[in-house]
Amino acid sequence: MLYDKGLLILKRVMLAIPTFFGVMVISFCLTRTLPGDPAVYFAGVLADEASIQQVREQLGLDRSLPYQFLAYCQNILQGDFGRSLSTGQDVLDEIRTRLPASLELTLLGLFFALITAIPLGIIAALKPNSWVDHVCRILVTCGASTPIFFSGLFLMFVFYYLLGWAPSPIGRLDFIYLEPLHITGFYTIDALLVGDLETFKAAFSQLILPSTTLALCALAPIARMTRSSMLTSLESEYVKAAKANGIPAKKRVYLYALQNASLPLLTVIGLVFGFLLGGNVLVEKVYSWPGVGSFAIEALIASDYAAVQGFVLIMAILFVSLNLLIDIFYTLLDPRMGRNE
Amino acid sequence: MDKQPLLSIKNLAIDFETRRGTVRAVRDVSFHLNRGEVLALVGESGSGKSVTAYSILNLLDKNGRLAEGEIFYNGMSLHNANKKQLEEVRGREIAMIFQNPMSTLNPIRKVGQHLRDMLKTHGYANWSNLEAEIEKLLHQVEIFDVDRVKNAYPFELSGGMCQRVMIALALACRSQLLIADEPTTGLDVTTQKSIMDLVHNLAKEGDLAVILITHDLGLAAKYCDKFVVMEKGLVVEQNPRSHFFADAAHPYTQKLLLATPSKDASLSELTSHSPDYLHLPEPSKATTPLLQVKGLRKTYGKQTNFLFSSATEEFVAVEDSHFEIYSGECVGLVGGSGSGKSTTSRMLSRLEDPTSGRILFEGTDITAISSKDFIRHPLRKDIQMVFQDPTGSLNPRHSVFDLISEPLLRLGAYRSKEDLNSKVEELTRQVGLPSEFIYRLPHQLSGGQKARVGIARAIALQPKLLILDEPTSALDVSVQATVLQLLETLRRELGLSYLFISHDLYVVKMLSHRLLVMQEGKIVEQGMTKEVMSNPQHPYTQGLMAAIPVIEKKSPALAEL
Repeated sequence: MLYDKGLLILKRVMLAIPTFFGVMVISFCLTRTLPGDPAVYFAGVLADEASIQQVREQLGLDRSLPYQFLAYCQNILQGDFGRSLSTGQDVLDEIRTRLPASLELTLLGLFFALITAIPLGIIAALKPNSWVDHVCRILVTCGASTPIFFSGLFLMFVFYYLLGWAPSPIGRLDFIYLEPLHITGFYTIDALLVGDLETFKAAFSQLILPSTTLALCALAPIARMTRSSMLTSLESEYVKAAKANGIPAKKRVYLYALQNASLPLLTVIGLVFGFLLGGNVLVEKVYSWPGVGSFAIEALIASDYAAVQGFVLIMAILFVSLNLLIDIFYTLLDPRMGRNE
Repeated sequence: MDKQPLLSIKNLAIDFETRRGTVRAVRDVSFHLNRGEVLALVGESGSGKSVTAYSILNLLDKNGRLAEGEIFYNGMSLHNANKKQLEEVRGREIAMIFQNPMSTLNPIRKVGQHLRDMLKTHGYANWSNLEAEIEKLLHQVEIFDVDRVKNAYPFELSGGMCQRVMIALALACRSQLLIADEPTTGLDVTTQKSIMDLVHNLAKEGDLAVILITHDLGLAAKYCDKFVVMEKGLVVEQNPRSHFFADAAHPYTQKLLLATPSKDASLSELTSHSPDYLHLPEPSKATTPLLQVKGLRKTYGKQTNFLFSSATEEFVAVEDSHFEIYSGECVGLVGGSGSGKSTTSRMLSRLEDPTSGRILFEGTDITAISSKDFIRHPLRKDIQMVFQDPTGSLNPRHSVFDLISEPLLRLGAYRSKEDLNSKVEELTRQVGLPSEFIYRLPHQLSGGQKARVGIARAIALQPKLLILDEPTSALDVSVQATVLQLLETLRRELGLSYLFISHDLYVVKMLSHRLLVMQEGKIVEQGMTKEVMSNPQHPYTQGLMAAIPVIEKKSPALAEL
């Protein structure tokens, strides 16, 4: 049994390798099709034909595409993501300093979505056509139909401009505060770790609006999935049998039904996370958040292909690893996985 | 002191709120039950037997409501009990087991966890004696490899094992009353016997009262002390076992009794009126076989991959079968689940390719044509199939007309609309479907009508061989009787040959001239039906015959009808 599971997990991990390779190919090809010549940008405005050519050779852009790809792969494996053309910094360093900001935002957004969507879905499933169910339905429809940049601007307009509850939406921390000591890179956690409650509060209040924006769009699929899979398992024979056997309602709902309903839910959460990574780019732009998303947009505008490549690769690695994690989790949760095939 | 019955139900009525208003599903039901008694709640689908039983523990669906009447259990009134009182009773005083044991256990909880939930919920064990208690319970339901079963998930156990576990759950808190809702439907006859024997023993030795909900009069006759027969929400008859068969007075009970297959009943005796086919002559039997099966074998490879190496485990589904079917003849194929009878039928109907062996149809080796190509082969018309699940085998979005005309359009030469219309009409008449049904959708038909559509479809192309894979197992007995008679009529009228597959020997034997008995992929016995039935040679056949509960003898009163 355990052996079977171990094998299944191992197989799943091995399957991730070709995926990574595929991502590398795609990110490489995508950036080569970007309009504009990076050599021209890099050489500067005043450069003449000869110096542009020199830059081109320096960057290896005069070689054939397969050669460039191999060189690229070799560099990646050595941890060298190249240098950003616009900032002149190492791309990996650049991403490393900006990634915690994005992750902090995304994870908090996902967390907000989970703690509202799951209970909402459960209650809606327990009482179909009650007011909670209707609220759930309205939220799902709104969440699914509002574009992320709109909800971002809307929240900002209401809570910052009209009500003045939220701090000014510029970055991770108001300028009157000092950055907390770099431990994890998550300002809120770092602030807590050094015991600086004041900074924690400030960092957290900056986070609320952008992460709520993300949560709003993640809410819809999670709530809908919770509701429908809870309905299925609540109507199942085993829940009925548990009722007949006098297993109390609480245990029936949370242990019997929810445990079974959590399996499809897990898959959806993986998908939603990927969705949030994409949504991040817009939210960061709207809230001037110094994360990888805004970095990627700037790089894209500047035809900074090393930076774009780095961004695409890191995001893909994140997404694939998370889905891998979810698959492994699923395998551990569902005893039927890997059996009865 | 125990004068008072354990359970008494008085003038029960149950309403269901539907879109078309309130429907009274059950009316004026009264019965009572003593300790150690097994009561059969008998009736066909829609009779209200399950609803009645579910109302005892107030397990009705949300739109259901106990409208009138009283339910007393051990002096306590259950009809007006509140939620908390009901939770006390459920599982502790009254427990239930259900039809589909595999899906009534939580798929991702181990058997041991189920039992622990039960014992802890009702406070019947603490951490120190929990495991000992579980072992005792599993022993009680005759499970002896306790450690394996305790740590198994439901999907790792067989249906019979799961039902035993359900019974263990029901017994966990020393319930006094067990409600068993068709507990053996879908299980093998041999498993059915062991489960019912177990329940019966528990009732007799443990003073347990049992309500057995069933559509099978044979089963009820064997295990129950008391009969309550329901039809359309009403109790039509209620008798102790000793009087039941002799005194069955109500026409519905008589109809049920007649329709239940038994050892000595013939097909024409299943209904009170004599069926039409009796005046039809037996089709003449040919001397050369229509179908010859030679050394048919089917194995399934179970591949286990480890990274780059792979190993194949072989599972033999059908082993070296030999038999013939002559034209105009009905051959019965009997066996338990997993005996390979369905695999055989799928190979004969060329839906699946055999691993080795040959199937000769009128001398042509049809195994030479792969199952993929057989769809377009002219012989496709000649071998047709009627499937087990009448609902699942009909496309829910197609009308009866579409369903019946589909094979005609695909394989028949029906060019004009009038030809097609008249052919479909003829077919519906042949299978006894009223012609106004042709534009109905499957969900608007009853089980028996759906079965008739399946048959009409199969005979549409005038096949020579019809493979009937448990065509009546999903039907009520009285419907089964008429469908079986229809099949016999069609065989005589059209000179069809049948391969009739079933797990129920007594159903098969009524139609078949010859019998094949399969066990674990092998044909262990074959011979003329009469000989096999009167003098079974193989122990497996003997076991099958012993396991199927039948009404031993029809009452003299009934014989006169």
